Amino acid sequence: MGPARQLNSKHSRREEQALVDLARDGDAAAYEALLERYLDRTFNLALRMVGNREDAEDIVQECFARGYRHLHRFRGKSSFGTWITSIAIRLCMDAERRQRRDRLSFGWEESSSTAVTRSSRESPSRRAERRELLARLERSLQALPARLRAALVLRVLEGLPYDEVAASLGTSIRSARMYVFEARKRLSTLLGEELREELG
Amino acid sequence: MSPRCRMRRHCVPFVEQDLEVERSLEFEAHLDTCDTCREEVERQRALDEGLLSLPAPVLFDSDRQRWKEGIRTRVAVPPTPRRWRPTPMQVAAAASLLLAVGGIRWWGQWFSRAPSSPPSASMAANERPVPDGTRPDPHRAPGNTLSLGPDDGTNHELSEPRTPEPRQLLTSASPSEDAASSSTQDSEKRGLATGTVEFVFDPQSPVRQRNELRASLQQARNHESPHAQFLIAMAHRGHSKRQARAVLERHVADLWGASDPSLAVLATQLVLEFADLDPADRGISFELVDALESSFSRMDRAEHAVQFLGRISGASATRAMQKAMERPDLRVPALLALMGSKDRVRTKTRHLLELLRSERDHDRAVLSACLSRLPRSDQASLSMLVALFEEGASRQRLAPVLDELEGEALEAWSRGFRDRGTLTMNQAVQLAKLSPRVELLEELEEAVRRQGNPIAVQALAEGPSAAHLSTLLTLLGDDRLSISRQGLVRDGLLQRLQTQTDSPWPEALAAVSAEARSLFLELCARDAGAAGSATLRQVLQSSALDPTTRGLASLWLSRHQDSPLQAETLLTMLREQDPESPGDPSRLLTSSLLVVLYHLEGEDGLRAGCEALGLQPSAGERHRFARRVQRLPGGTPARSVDQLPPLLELLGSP
Repeated sequence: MGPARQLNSKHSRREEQALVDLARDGDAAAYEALLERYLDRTFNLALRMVGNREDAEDIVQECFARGYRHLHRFRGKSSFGTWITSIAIRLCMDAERRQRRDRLSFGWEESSSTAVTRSSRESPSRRAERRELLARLERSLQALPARLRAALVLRVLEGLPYDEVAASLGTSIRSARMYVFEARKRLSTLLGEELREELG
Repeated sequence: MSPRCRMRRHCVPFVEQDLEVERSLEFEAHLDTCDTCREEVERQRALDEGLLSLPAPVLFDSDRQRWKEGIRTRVAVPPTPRRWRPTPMQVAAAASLLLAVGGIRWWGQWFSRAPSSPPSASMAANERPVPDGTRPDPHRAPGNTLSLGPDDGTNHELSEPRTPEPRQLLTSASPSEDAASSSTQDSEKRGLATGTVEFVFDPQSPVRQRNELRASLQQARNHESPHAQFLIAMAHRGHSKRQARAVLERHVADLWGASDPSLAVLATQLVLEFADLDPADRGISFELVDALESSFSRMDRAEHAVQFLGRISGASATRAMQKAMERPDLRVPALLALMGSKDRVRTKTRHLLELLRSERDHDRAVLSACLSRLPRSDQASLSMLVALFEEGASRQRLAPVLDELEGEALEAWSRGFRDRGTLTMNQAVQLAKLSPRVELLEELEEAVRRQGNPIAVQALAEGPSAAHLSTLLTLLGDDRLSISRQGLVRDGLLQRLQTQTDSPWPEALAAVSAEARSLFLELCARDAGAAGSATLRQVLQSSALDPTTRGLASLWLSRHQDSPLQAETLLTMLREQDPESPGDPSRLLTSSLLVVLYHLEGEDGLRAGCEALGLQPSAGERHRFARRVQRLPGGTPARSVDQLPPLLELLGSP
């Protein structure tokens, strides 16, 4: 992390703590400001974790509602974002456990749409192949154990540093690194070669 | 560069820009020379790109507003109050408080009864003249006097005072004008619970004490008898257990020199019982050890002496035991007594190894007896046994002896630990390491769950029974297990798959959850090569398993490159299937077999499969079936499980 980012981070942290203090005193607007900061990240994480929009929306709402109720327990050792992410991860894991109990088959829901973000100049067959590959990647991501998936999403998709990944998962930095490493290993074993040929 | 490049571990940190600058530059230079790492870096970058290309969810303002509204509603509605449950800390605190209060009350009762309770009316009524030697001192506190009630044919509890010892067996005794010594004859006639015994415990008068104790011990031929218990109760009164034991010991030491060995044995039993009663009491005086040692040459009590020495801790007793072992006549009793002792691990190990190395049949028998005497609930003995087996394993010629011992001793050991409820996970793992015959499945499972213990995984993977495998499969299906532990379990299963092809997988699979079964089939198909294929075939053909599992096995097998299914095998299985068979109520196996047949042989295979089933679908129906099969989702076959049975309906099956 560069010095400018560190400075920003410190500044932002102080500001965030002030918002937390206000929210603790019952200032709803302050909590809404906090919510705005982390809503997208939490929703992305939830969606990647549970694999469908309805559950993800439910998790986001429950997560912020719990965050508000238990704000007095937040001690400021980590950032508010890390704290709220850790709540979201726990909720996602609970939801996944429920889902697994509920469904008899072990498949996952088909992704509603897998958009293709590459150049539209590609041929239709190439685009179809790419779409298929990304759909497989998404399914493989969903098939990872929850902790691995959470670690990978936070690290790669959300770009969080390892200390925040670790704090969100409630584990050590070393374990967080191991989770990400293991998740990468599993995904690249399954799809690495195809991805390299397709996207590399 | 070899595929096992040592720099490969830097690939992921390099891609994530998580390496220090110098290391990063160094690794970049390395990439120019190493194809393996370069390819890995490219793979990881492609993976990153793929992940980042995944469609990001689109969020509209309306969504945000809706969610905020939802959050407000949830915050406004107070959460359902959780039922109060005590935390472990609260439970522990409450338990400590109860124990403390109970302890204080117990001690309070104990002290309040002893010196200060006034004599009861019944006591006054039952008061009898006592012999001179045992008449109570009028200056002594009344609580120091015990009297037993009259013998009227019924048992009376001692009216005052009572001993809190749980083994208290004080019963009534007959009224007699005689002293304790004269009641011996009565006791022989009417049993030990007869005869008035009034015993005054006076540490200030040791000579009188000794005489009285002798007399009382003569009455108590059995240390479980009321008299012996009475003595224990007496010795406890007004003294700490340690003091009471010391008083007793002073008296019994010289009994070993007396003519009657039974008296000495009884006395020593009492002494040792006191030592056992008080765990803090480690020491037995030299006097008693010397007395025991001096009786080695007396045939009528030598074995008893050795046995007692085995129960006594301390260097002097160990030295005495050593001397006993040097005597040919006492060697075996001394060894057996030594094995039963709670410590002296080094001495025990040395002697056991000597026995193990001995060529004599007699010594092997002694070894077996010694092993059966070892305390079966302490870690030290277990470690010793491990050392013993390791020593034995390094010597080929000892293998038969060990094999013989293994079956009996280890199973007895594991039972012993279990029965005492003292088996720790480490002990279970050690025992399992010694022999795959030891079934300590729950403990091994816990050792994997809590410790990620690789030896426990290995023990389960090498276990001979289906229960061993079921335990491992249950762990495989447990998503709460950490990644590293899951990895261990998978490795254990793979090792078993590849080393023992005739393992009882169907029985093991039948006992675990559907998820564990599915994961195992995937493991067989993806990672276990030809051995996995053989196991899948075994699962497919096992009637002990449910149709879903067998159907999944057939689907996995159809994708397996090492050993693809033969169409004939499938047709045979289909001929045995009746579409309305109660054996396959969900019709999943039947439809799976048809799908696999279609994959293998196309339209011809499907037609043959229908014939085998007795179905006669039209060409249009077959075409619709084929189209639906092609649209089944890829990936793991478990995904298509729900969509398979309806396929049969397309072929005209009811």
